[in-house]
Amino acid sequence: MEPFAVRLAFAVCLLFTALFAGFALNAESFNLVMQKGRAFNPRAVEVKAGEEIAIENDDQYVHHVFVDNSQFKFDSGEQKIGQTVRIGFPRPGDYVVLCAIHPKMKLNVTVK
Amino acid sequence: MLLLNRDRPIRWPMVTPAIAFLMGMGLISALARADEPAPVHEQLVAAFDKIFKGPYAGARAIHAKGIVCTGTFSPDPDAVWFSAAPHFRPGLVIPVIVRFSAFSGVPWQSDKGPGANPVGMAIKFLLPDDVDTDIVAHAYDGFPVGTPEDFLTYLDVMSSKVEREAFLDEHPAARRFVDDPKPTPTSYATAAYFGVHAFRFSNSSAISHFGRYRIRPLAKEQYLTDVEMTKIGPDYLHDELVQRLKKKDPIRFRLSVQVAEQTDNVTDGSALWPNRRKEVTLGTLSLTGIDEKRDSQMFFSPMNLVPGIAASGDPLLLARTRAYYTSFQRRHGEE
Repeated sequence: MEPFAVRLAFAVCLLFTALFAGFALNAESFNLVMQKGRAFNPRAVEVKAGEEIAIENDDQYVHHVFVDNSQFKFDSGEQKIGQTVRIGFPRPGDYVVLCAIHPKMKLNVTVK
Repeated sequence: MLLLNRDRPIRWPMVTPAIAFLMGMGLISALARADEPAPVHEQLVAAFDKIFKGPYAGARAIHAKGIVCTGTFSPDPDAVWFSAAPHFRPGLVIPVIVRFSAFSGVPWQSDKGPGANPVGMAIKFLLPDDVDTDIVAHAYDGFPVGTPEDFLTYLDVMSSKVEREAFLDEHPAARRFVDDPKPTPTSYATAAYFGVHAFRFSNSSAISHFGRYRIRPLAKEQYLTDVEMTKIGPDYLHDELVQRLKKKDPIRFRLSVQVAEQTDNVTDGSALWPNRRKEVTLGTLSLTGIDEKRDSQMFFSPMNLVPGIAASGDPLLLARTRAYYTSFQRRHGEE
């Protein structure tokens, strides 16, 4: 094989490795929570400080998620059907994600 | 780890400034956070607390005094052409819970005193599978302002005559709201109620229209005269409703929607649409009972929607949703 072709193949391999490593890191850096039937599923998640949770509205209803904690506040505003909201929790602690429209919806988040 | 290495003594003259620097940064960060204004929904609740000298334990921040009724909603046969919402399907009879309320945040608000009007009406439609959807309305067609920020300013300037007048001069809808008569109804059953915000109603063919709710009594719309006002007690509207329903005479309202045209502002509840706009009848509410025990647990949200009805992008609608929830959490001790 020509030296250029070897170098090209090596570069392509490196690029793919980097890309897949990126995807793998991304996949580990957030947890997926679904909203369905006016409930979070799962109802509790555990993440590391700095990680994100992604909350996907797979429901028939509009939601409005928020966190109101002395350490951390978040407000999605109107979360339309099909919309995904990402929340990054910077500090360890116990948090509750609520829906401002549906009071029965509660998601407990433990940040380690 | 460096500080714990016993082979290397800690150099306090170097460490102390570093600790002081970090503490200083922490203090600056804390002060910066303290300077951040509270979210607008919290400011709205605090503004109402200030006006009504609250908060009052277990009470809503606004519309604190109320009475809860039960009944049914029967959709108009043509409502389904306007919206595919489940409670508009023809032939159904949907259980409803309706809360009537005085305006203020004072739980013992007198029906004859300032702060009683405009009275409110909130409806919860109880749908199959533990689903519900709400309408929140009041006995006034319109709203003083169109944004959460203006609403905060409006509430803030009400206590100062000079500032209030300056604000009202620049906000004609607020001027109209303040100046318009808001009479006490002869009964909660004889007032007309209006939804503040527009919603997008879509039918099963995805044909959409923006519209605002209107809820009119089938009985004659009636309000108390000044002379009659002097004769009523502080809980007149509550007692009148209880007596009315004891007679087994259902209270009926027609639920309709005022339909917007292209030129109408659908994201500002203070922008009225011409009265000549078409109204579509959605159905009839029939109230037959009272459920006093349910009042404090009830939570009504104008954003509690079902497919066939969507929000319009009105910024005040979102702010009100969070403010209502903040009030709900507070009265249930969830803060």
